[in-house]
Amino acid sequence: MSLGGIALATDFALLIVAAAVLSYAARLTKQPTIVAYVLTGVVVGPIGLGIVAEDQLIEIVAELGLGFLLFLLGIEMRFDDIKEIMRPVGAIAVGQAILQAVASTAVALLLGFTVFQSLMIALATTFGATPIIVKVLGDKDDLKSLYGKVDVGILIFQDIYLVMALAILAVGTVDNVGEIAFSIGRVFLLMGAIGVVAYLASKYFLPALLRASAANKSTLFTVGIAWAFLFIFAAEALDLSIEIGAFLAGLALAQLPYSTELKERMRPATNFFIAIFFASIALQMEMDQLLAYWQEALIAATLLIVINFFIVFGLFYSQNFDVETSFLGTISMLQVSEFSLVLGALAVDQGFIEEGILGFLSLMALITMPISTYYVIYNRQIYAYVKPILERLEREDTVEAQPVEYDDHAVIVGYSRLSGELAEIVEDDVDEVVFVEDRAEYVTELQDVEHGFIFGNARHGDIRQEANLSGAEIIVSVAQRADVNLRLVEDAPDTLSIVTATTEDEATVLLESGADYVVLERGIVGDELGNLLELLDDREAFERRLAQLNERARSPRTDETTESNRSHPASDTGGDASTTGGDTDV
Amino acid sequence: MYEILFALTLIFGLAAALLLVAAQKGLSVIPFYLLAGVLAGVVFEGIGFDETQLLDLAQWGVAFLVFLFGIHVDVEAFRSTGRISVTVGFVQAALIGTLTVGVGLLFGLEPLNAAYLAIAAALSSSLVATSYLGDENGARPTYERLAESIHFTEDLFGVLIVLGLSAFVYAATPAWEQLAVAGGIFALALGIRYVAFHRLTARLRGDSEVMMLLGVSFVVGFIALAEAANLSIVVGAFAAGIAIADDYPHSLELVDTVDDLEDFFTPIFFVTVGALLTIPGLETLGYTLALVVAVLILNPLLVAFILLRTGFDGRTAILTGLTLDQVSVFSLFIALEALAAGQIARPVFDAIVLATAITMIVATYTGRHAGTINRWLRDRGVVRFLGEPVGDRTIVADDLEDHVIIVDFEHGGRQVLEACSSLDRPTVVIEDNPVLFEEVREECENYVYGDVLNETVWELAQLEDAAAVISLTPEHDRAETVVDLEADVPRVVRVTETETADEFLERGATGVIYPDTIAAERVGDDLEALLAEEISREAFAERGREHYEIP
Repeated sequence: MSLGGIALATDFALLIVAAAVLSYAARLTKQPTIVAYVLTGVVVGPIGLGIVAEDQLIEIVAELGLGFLLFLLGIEMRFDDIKEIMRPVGAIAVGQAILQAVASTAVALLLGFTVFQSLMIALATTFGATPIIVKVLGDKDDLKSLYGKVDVGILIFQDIYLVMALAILAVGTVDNVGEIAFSIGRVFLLMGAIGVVAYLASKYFLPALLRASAANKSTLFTVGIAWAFLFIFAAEALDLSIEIGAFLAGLALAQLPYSTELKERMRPATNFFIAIFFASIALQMEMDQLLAYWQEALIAATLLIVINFFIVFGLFYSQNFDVETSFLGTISMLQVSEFSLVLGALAVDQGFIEEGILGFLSLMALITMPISTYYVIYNRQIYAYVKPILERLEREDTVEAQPVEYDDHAVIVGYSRLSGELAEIVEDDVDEVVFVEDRAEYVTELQDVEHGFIFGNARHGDIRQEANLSGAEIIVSVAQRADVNLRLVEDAPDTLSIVTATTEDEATVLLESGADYVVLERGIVGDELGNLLELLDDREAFERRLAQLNERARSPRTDETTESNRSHPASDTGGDASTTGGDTDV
Repeated sequence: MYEILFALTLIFGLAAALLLVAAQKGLSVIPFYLLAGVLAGVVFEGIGFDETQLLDLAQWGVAFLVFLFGIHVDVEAFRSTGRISVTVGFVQAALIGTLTVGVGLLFGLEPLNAAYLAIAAALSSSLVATSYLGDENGARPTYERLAESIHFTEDLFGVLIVLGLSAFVYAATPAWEQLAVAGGIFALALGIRYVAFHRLTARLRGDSEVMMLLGVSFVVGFIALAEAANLSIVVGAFAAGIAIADDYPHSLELVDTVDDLEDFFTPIFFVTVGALLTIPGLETLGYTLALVVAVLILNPLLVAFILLRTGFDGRTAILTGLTLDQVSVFSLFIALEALAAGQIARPVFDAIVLATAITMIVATYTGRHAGTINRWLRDRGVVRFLGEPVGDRTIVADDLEDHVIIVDFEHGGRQVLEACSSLDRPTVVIEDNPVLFEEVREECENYVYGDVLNETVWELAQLEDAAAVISLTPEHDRAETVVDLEADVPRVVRVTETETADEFLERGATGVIYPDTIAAERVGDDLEALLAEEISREAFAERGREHYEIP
């Protein structure tokens, strides 16, 4: 048994360090990290320095990365999020898949690839790149705009397409048509079986399981991972691709309230592993394989960007989106996706295509992703430039942007006596009150009341985004971590913020960062006791005040207090229970 | 691939199932990981899977655990209780260590194996990061902070022991140069922390994905340095943690992300250790018994004894002692490294793992019932036997009358003190934290240092003549004692939930202070005024500032 060599000796360590350096550079140039990861493999692998070769650890981690990625894609499949634009989005996604596949096949055939190669290329190149779209639009705060929502919706549909493609690849090379049909049938049958198990579990088994495991932060995470591994292993044992198992495992969790928190907790591990996966793609590649079709890659990249622009723009336009939305939504989707590499790498593994084609796909990704990042960043500027040409296409009655789910609302981070009472006070003045809480003991309680509820820890960006902090009127946070409070205040500079602090120092920092009202209980208690002790010589008054304090401490939250100095409107327990679930009345 | 997948599925499946049990009962998770390991070991045995294949991944667990511990090194917080905890930690570890070496030698172990046994008995902590920092709470009692500080000290000892072992035992020739190299690595880490780290991260503008990779490559880089010098990965990972500053916003973007990553690798580590266990023989059981006795009984008593000598009251001493009744995670690292180096006898290794599991489970119970145990020990005269100091640090004027007794200076007591002095009302402060002693001496005219459970303390505070007792302690059992005082004096105690308020009022408390409700009332009034547009947003903010002075 040897414990030596976790870092220095293994290629794994070098790969990580190189990936960190390159992704750091990518961040400085606003490029998506995925480009950095693919380049990492190119730089340290046989094509570049030749200091790293694929070893067993890299292989395991890369495989896990792909599994986890698909698991997260599954978790993110929340159809509720795109419910109101489901129909146009579905039409665009399906149309795009078909038309782009035809276009890609034609382009590939034109460039001299064989029919089979062309079909594989077409299969692999019809996706938009999630890391670019979600990241760049997120940075621009455009994910909640109409075109952002449509793009994200299309990406969700493309996930399904990806899983289908993976299923077909999982069949492996077979000789005659009968066998192919049989194999594909078998794959889909098994997928269906696993899907049924996943569905039944999400209906009857998972809610209780996750509720029980939410009691402890490690438990929720471990149970989530175990769930993923169970499906991954089942898929492997059934000779399906493990990605399909992972995806179905995630899908089973997607509609449950714990999904965002779980997803956020799994994200670091996934990011870490998937970096290794993308870096490992180029590790098996020689220089001549990467550059085997470099001219074709250049031509195909240019042609496909142009052709796909017209396809996607046309589809957007045909679904009654206005010109600006169509344009912005279209150019975000114009690049070769990371999924192309995923499918390409699997196709190589299964022996469908040779390394050269993967090199071709990698080159296309490396060309289109960096360029597209810039045109997505500057999409509005570009639109302003082409607007005069497109204006004549403008028409009436286009699809309107739906209001985001939470708006003009109050966000209450952490559930306590304090935050609960403050929520009651504000509920009449805002459209909705949304609680953010990750302690399991409050889940049942919070799900039952008429307020919005997000299960999760506010330290995660996605949780804060889901609560739409910057769109909120009021934030009340009783989070115990000072850094979380600080982030909340910074995320929503214009929102009225009431946050708690434990020490005077924390309070000062929070105030300086823009908090409106910092609650330092220590100070308030001292203050109150000072007032109380003033009455100490007047026994009667002293006892009366004490009785009031006792009454307040004992009366449950929902009761109206009998305090003299409070003028609580008596009507606020009345029937505005209809503000649940985002049916906003603006 | 298939085998590894199967192993990982089994590991996480078993761990998840057992963690559910742990979560339901509120128990510590590590013993359940080890138990999952034992079960997994049986399966691995059955299918002929070689669990050493998992060691690669398991080592990442060690690396991340130690890395996070390094990150959480908080020099500032350590300074306040540092001297006491270093003394306590050192004396405790040295005494118990020597004793266990003796026992080990008596058992007929060779010196090195006796030393491994001693390390396991002496280091009684579970990495600070995983034990206390998890449930950060506003009002933390003295004993918790003291315990955290002692744990921290002992974890540092753990790093030093690992360093010493790899320099003098595992190295082909004992080498002082390695210590110098280690010093250089730590110096480099500190240099990065204070010079380069913030510059490096500032340009990332909160991209947690790149931050995470950066953190991981710090780990990898420092471990590589350590390995190049033939040092343990623990040394490298610890240095990597030192290099990273745990301040805002990195605490959110980097540390939390690495924390989530760690959650993936630690189960693999603990389960693998569990899987390496063999069926215990008589010899193993003997060592285990010795370890359990040392850790569960001797350690707490010894720590309590030392703390009492340093001037802490009996309650703080006992409660702190009770947090130290478990085998350290570091002892597991050390045992695993020794196993890999072929230096540890199998029964000793097994005993250490077994004792870890047993003591960690028991520690959860003793931690939960610490107050009861403390009372029990006091009733049996153990606290007096260990020598509780009362009256050493006490100044109370003889002629006090109608004074207010304030229990707990820190949690709002300061403000009450100020209010009383402006009202010209005499006060007596009862405090138990020696760290605050200087401050208390300066600011209070009358004070008593001691445990509220001790009747002498109340005599010294002249309870009979007092006008009121105000207890601001956040600890339930101390508040309870104040409620149960037999005197005709109004007693006001702090509570944190409605049920406790009911309970205390029924038991005879004159009044309860529920900070949340008081805050809710004050803030609520201000907020209503704002919402009714009676005051402007600026005036609202102004009202918020009235409750305290900005330092």
